[in-house]
Amino acid sequence: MKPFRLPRFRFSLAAKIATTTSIPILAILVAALLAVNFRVAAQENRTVTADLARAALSFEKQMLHQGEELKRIGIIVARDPKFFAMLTLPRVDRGTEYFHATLAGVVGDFQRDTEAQVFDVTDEHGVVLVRGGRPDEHGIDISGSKLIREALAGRPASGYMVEGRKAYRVAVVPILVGGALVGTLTLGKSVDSALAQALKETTRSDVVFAVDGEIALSTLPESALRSMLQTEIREWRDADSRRQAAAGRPGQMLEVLPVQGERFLALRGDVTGPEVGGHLGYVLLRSLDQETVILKRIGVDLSVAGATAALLALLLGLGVAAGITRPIRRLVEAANEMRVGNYDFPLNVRSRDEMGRLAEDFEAMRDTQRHEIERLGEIDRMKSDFIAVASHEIITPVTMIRAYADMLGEGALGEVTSPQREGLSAIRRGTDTLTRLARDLTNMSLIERNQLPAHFASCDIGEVLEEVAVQVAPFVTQRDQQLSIGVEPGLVHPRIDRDYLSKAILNIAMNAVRFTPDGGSIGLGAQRVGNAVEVEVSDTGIGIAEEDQERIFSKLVELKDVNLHSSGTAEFNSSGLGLGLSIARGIVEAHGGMIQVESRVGEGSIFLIRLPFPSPEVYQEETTASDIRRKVNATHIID
Amino acid sequence: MRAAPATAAVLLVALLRAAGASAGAITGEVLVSPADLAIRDTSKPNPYVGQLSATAQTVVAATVDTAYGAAWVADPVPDPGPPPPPARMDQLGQRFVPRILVVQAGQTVEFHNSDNVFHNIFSYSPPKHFDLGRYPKGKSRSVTFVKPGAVQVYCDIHSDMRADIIVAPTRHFALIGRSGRFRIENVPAGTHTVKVWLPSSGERMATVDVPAKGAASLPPLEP
Repeated sequence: MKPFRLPRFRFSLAAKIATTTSIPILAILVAALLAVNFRVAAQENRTVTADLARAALSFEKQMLHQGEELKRIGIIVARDPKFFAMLTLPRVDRGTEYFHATLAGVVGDFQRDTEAQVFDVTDEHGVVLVRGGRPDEHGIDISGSKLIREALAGRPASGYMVEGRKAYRVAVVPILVGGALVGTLTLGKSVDSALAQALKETTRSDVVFAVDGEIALSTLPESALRSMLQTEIREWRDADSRRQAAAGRPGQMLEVLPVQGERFLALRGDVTGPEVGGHLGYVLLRSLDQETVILKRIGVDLSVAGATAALLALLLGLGVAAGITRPIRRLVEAANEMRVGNYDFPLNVRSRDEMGRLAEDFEAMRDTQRHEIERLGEIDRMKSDFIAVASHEIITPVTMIRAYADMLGEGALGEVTSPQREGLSAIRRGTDTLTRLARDLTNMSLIERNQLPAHFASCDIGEVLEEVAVQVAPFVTQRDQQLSIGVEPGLVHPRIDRDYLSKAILNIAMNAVRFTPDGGSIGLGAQRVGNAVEVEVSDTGIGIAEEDQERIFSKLVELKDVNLHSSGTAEFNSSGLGLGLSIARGIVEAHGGMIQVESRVGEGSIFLIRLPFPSPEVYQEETTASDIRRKVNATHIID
Repeated sequence: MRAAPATAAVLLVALLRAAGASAGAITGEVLVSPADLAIRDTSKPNPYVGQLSATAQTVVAATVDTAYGAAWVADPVPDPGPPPPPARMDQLGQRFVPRILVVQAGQTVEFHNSDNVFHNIFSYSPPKHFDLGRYPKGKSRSVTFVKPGAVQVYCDIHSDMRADIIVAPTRHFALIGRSGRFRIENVPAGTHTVKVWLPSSGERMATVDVPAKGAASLPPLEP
């Protein structure tokens, strides 16, 4: 039994070349992509955070700038005589209706010009004289605030004022007349959606203003994000108030808020500057995912480009590989074709490199071999022809020798002494052997030339087997063997060359006798199996080793150790050339049949001849053809 | 006629003396504080000096304008005389000249522009609320003051310009100089209310009995 072996995977040369060329490119691409992705991920948060911090700085600057702007406007207003002249009036005049009416008129004019929503004027003690612009609002008392205190000390100041839910960016400036302080002016612009919008544009972030922990103003539409932010801001306020008790306000804080699968980066801070009436805080908000979408897109683009490049590299590799291996594959195919006898497979290799050279050499080698094979075929044919003719020619003189030996033996040519008779008998035996040899050779030649057998006719297989038995019987008897015949009655095959089939079976049977020890058994049998007739020749002989079972049907094969027969009388058929089984196979195959052997060394052998029934059409045609062939071929010889 | 207040007062005193009526005088002394003196502080550079002509600067320097306050009899005193001629307040070197002017109720003041620049005189003061608008050099616009009281006068263009016009109900008034001393002549005998005005402290008053002959001294002022 063969040892079990793992199947070996065979990779084509093209696959190897393609792999080795594209793997380094793929590796480089993958490494580059990984590196880029790593960098992008690292840069992502840092960039956005820094950007938001810059935005916050810009935000604070703008708010500060607005405060400064308000201060400048306030100073200009405070220096206008038509504005400050009111405040220089003697105290006795101030309680009058006239005074308040005039003041309201003057303040109204200036407020219109400055477009300030808050326009409050106090006297030199910080007591509010007029609150411009918001007549319906209650207003808060700013007189004690830090802002007013600063202004009363002669220094303009800016900060924030909160009234209810409304926040104002305010500047408070002192009103000085001839070096003396006569009052203060508070100018304020409301922190409104226009401001928020403007800040949104410059900071590229959503802007939210919160007054005492409640969203007062926002560029965000009403949304889940906004309500979540509101909750967050309240929490921050509460946390801040707790923390404030311990240690001051924390300043700016950065937090990431996940909302409905999107991440937002929120920077919250407090507006810088003094506050009146409430606390104003702000939140700058950006979608982290939207910020990084460009980075992510770059990543995707790189991946796509990488995959495309990899695919191209692979295709290129395959292309190169195919280009290199095509001539090799042609050579492999040509070699395969050569094996089945086709020497004309076109190579189509025209390159001028080593491949071209190899193809040329292959072509030359193939031509040489073709000529050699043709020459050998010719020799073989000549040999067969020679054998056929020679062996046939030998028979005529041998027949004559046999005839005279017979005549001599019968005393027809005079008295024959006993020793002479024995000599004649030896001559007869020798001529018989010689005749048989010659016929075997002739038959073999004819078989090789596809000229045998030629006389097909309907035939009773039982009769054939009986005929064989009769011929074999003397030898069986001589060897003390048993011969048995078992035939299905009336087994007729419609297309049999009876003489040749008989000879084929005889050859096998003789072989059986020859290789069966004395006292063994030989069996002949025939039966119909399916659409065929099976003829069986069995023995209890020495058997045939498995590795020899195919070889025995070849020409000129004589298995070794014939002398192992227990009787030692193997010579009875040793005059053969070992052609017996070869001829038998030739005959059976000429009938469209096949011959098989089953055997075990030391137990015996069974030869099985299977002769299929031809289909009716084939049978018709074949009979006609064989009739014609019979007339043409006059040289066949039958034992 | 150009009527410098000091000259006018001297003139009035002379007239009253000539009439030979029974009349006394009121004298007083108030403290003129540094704040009061600062109203004419020339140490502060004029921010518009480049716009002043050489003549104007010379004129400013030469002007005799020494009043720092005013005092007047505040109660109605029969006044048989003709109404006084218009007073004049000039705008010279971007200053009002005089800085302090006292007029009698019903008197007209001509505001003249002697500067190379426009001026715009206005006042929010209750006795007289006016705005003369802008006008150039050489032009005058007039205002008649009827109600008594202190009137603050500003120029809308030049925030440093300031004048105070005291509208007195009668012709019995006097200007207060650097010394703080003043004297109101020809006051009919009887009890009178006298008002004193200084830039830093505004109007204050006191009651005084004026004798037929001689001068009465003003008692301490009430705020």
